[in-house]
Amino acid sequence: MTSTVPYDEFDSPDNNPFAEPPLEHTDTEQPHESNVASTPATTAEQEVVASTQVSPPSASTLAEETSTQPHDNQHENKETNILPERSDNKLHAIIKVLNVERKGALMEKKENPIIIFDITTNVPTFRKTSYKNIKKTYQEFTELFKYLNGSLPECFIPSLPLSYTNYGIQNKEDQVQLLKCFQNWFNRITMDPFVLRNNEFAFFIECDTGSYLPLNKNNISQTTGLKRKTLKQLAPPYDEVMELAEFRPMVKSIYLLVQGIQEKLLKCSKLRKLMVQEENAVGQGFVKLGDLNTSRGSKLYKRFGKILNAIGDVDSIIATMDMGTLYDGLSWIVRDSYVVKETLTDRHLVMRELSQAQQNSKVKQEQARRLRSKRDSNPLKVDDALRSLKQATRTEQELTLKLQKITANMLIEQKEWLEWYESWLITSIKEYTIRRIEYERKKLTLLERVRQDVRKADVKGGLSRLGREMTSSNGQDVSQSIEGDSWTGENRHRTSGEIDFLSHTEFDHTLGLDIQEEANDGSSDEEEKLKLRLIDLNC
Amino acid sequence: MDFDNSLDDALKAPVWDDLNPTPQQQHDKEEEQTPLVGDVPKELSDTFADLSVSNNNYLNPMIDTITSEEQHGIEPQNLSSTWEGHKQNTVAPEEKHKADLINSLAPEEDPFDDLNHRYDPPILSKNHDASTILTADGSLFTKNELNGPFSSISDDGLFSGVPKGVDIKFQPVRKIAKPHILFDSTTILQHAKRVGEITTQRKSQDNQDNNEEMEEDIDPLGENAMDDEFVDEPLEEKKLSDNPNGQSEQEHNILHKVNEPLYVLSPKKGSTVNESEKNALETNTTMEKTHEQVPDQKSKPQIEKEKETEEKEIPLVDFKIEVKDPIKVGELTSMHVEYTIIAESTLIESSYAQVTRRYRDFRWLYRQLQNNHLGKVIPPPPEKQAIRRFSGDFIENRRIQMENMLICIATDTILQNDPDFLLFLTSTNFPYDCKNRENLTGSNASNDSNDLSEIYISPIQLFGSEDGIRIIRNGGIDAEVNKGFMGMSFSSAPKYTEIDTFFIEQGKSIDDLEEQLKHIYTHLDLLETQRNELAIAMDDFVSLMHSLADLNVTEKSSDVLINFEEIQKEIKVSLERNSLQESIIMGASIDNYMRALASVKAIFNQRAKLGYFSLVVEEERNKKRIQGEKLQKTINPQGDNKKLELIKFEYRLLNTRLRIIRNKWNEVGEKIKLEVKKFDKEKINEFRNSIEISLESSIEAQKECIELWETFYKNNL
Repeated sequence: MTSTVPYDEFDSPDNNPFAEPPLEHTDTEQPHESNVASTPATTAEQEVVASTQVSPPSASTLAEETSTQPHDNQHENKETNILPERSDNKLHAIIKVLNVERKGALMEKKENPIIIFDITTNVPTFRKTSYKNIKKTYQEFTELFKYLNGSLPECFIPSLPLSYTNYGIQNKEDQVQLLKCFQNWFNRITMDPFVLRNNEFAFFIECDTGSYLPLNKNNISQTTGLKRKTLKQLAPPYDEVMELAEFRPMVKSIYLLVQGIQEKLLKCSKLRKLMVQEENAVGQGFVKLGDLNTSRGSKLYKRFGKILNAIGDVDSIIATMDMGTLYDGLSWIVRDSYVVKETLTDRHLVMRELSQAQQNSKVKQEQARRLRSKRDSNPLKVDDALRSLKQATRTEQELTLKLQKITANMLIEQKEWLEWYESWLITSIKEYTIRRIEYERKKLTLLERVRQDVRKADVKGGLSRLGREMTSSNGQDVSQSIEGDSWTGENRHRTSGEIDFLSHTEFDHTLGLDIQEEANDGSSDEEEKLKLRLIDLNC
Repeated sequence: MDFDNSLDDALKAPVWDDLNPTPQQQHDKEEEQTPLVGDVPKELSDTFADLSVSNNNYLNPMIDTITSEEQHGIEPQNLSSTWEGHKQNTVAPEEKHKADLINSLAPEEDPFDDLNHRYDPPILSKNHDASTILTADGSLFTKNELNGPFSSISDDGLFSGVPKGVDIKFQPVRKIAKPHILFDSTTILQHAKRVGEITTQRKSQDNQDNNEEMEEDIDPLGENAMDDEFVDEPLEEKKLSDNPNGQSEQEHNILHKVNEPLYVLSPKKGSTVNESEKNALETNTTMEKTHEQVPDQKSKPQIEKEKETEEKEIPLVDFKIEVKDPIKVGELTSMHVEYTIIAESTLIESSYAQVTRRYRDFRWLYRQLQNNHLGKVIPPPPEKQAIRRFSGDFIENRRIQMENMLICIATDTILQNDPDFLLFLTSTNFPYDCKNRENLTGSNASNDSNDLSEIYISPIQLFGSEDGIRIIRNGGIDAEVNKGFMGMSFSSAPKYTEIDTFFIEQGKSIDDLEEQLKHIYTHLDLLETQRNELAIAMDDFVSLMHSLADLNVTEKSSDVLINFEEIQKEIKVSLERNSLQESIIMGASIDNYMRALASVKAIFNQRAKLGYFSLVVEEERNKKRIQGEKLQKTINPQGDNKKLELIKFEYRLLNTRLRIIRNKWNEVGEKIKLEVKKFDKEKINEFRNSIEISLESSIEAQKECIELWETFYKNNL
């Protein structure tokens, strides 16, 4: 982060109409911005520019206190000036996640999957432009994340996806979900120019599998531990940027609410599983009833029992799916919103630091003024005072700059994050819905399958007494077909493959039904479908 | 017992005609033959008269059962006759000091000889699983297995009663079941006795007849001709056939009939009885007949067919029954709910009746019907419930259940004609009427235990009013067993063990079924609570979703969340509805099924109780017999034999009772078989219907659920 320090020439946030003390300071730099704005914003040049421009602002601080803010029109420029990284969008890195591997002991498998990906990039910090089959363990990702989160206070570093899903490990769903999440994460990470330019990122990519550890640990500037906790207790400092001022409480609420939702969802899922137990028990009861009955009812009871059982199992799948889709989806939101919230806290801390620095410099200024007004002042003392004043002003300056940068970047990333939040939430709900529909349909299929048996047991009885005829005496009495759903006028054409998919469940073999297709066939088919759907969701 | 009179012709005659043409004739003969007749013979004839008079009273049921038993074998008939014969042979000759002392002594000794010799058979039958005997009896007499214990009883009775003919007739059975030697002496004795009797007591013509029969008998039997026992077989047949034909035609008929039964022994008997009964019986034909025919080893479908046709004879009268308007009546402790029952049917006098009844009355009806129709599954009333008796749901539920019960009763051809049922529907002074009926039938209906399967068998119902009342006065059939010092019984009560595998298996399967249903029921219950809990959890979940939407993070996400919340709510409602439906439909039908099973168990218990009674009575009778035996040995032939008389009378009574019980036991057993079959069929249909309804409703719910999700998906994602 050495490169960030020198940019002291930048302006205060453009949208600031208030004349608060910190702002006055930031305003002082406005005269210079024209120079900076004109300078080319490439990284290499900036280094030079920055170094040359370090001194002038500090020298002219006092003089420029009165300068005004008629520069709103230069908003765009300012932004690029404060965030030179943003002005350059030629840099890119395209990462394609190829696979997820789970190896080793059980815990290792679960907690520490290996992500395999390709990367193509034009970022100069990388030695090559493209890397193939890079393998990184989840552990390494965590290290990288920690480092980035600590060293880039202006960025909302996307939190890592969970290392495992609620589908359980080592199944297709889990694999697909993890792939999808990591792809999403990489996409987000590479969108961030700060991360892209960070040396550590290049280092992370380039180092050997499993060997990555952050190089510049000292750079992590986050306040941690007790101090952080104490500071968080204080009321947040005044924030002139309304968006961000409101953003933190909102994110916090999101964090808490989504956590609550997760909790409830977990409870629902558990209750559903308990319900499944009862459903199964009832089903089992009917099967046993069938065993007891040697007469004509036996087959009916058995079938009915088995179907109830299968429906229970479908319910259990639904419970798992709820967890796998919505719960996991929400848990990423929880983690991410936490990171965002803490990053915003960091900003508050910086603000606090800045206000302290401003106070300090004010005090120093006062001292210097007093000394100056005194006739018999000790020149040594005056020198000292001036020097400390200069020092204080410089710190203040640096902090102001830092804050400006953070604020500007956060304003951008806030929008990005909200977009992500929306899309991710909707994706989760969508996936949840799709899965739900799928399994509810399967339930329907199962129910309709036993219908024939129930009818057959007594042609004259039951609903036929109420005048409800069998729709077909022996054939398929199904409401879901290629033509769509029998109960709705809506056009829902489906391919025969889809129908096939719906009309077969994982439990067909336990039901002892006459299915021509092998169970494997069905399941692989299903996986394909699942993949297709998930890819759909990705888009 | 409506058919008593009509039966008289058919049945009385064979009973009394046993050894001699008719009882009257016999009496006459005896009086004529014995010039020494003094007071005692008169007494004897008096007792005989008594017996014949009492025919209409306590002996009547016996006759009923006898008729039903006739097809199993001739034993019962013989039994009753042997009693007379016995009396005649033992008491009369003794008292009369008939010329031939040996002859007169022989019959006296005989019974006890018999007893000594045959003492083990009854025990055997009691203690062993009668299968060995069963096979023996069954094969020869083509009785159904149920007769196993029966045959042993009748043997028992026979031996004690010393009926010569009967005894001999049973010899073949014995022979198969046991070594022949055992019976040699007795049979010889008996034969001798019989011959003696014949010579002394009968006219020469009769004697000739018998001899003729004997001769003819031997031929068809071939190898067995050597055995004296077989000689009497035709005698029995003759007795049977004699009655309708009368004395004059006897000879021809004998020739004809004697030949017939020997080739196809039991079928013929069954059919003859059937015919006579068909004419005679009207109301109870179904039971009796099916009962009769089973022993004849007709194929089951045939029985069923006959049963069906039989049932058609009793037309099902349309009933319209409604239970409604539950009203809380009374205050505090006497508070109860009264239901209005409206019944319309031609069976009711005014063809319309409206009465109010309370729950207790329904229980009474159940018990009363159970008592009136042994071995019939009675539609059960709802279970008792102590708490929350006045909640609306509960009352409504109970109302439905009671209505179902009445409708079930009304749609049963037999039950719908039951006087108690009609009384229940029409009586305006029910509290009085029901007590009245209860006392009349001894049903003990208001001392109703909670368990629907527990039963009480009224002695009145079993033995007719006179004997029944006597038994009740003595404290019930098993009073002997229960009475002991300070209410403690020293002799252990005999334990009834079911011998028919059908009942054992059925009983077990019913228990299993009940357990399984209970299992399903509890889990359905749990399922419902789980569903409701899930619904509550979903509520929480949804409300949090709502607050998240309220945050208004982005417009779109809020929209989606709100819609998501909506749909979750709808799903929740659907879930709740489904669970309610399931609990109502499935729960109610399983509950109903379980109660019906209790009712089925009740008829099994009835059989078991009858079996138990039979053992009790048998034991008692055996005691009496031993007592009588002792008395017989010690008694001075000329002295006071009143005590012996009394014991003999009691013995006879017990024997009658035993036979009635055994008959009933058997009959109930047969009925149970049919009932169970019918019940299975009905219940499966009923259950299937509720399965279908609940299935259809879940299919609809499922469709609704899919549709909700699809719509949500389409509109929002």
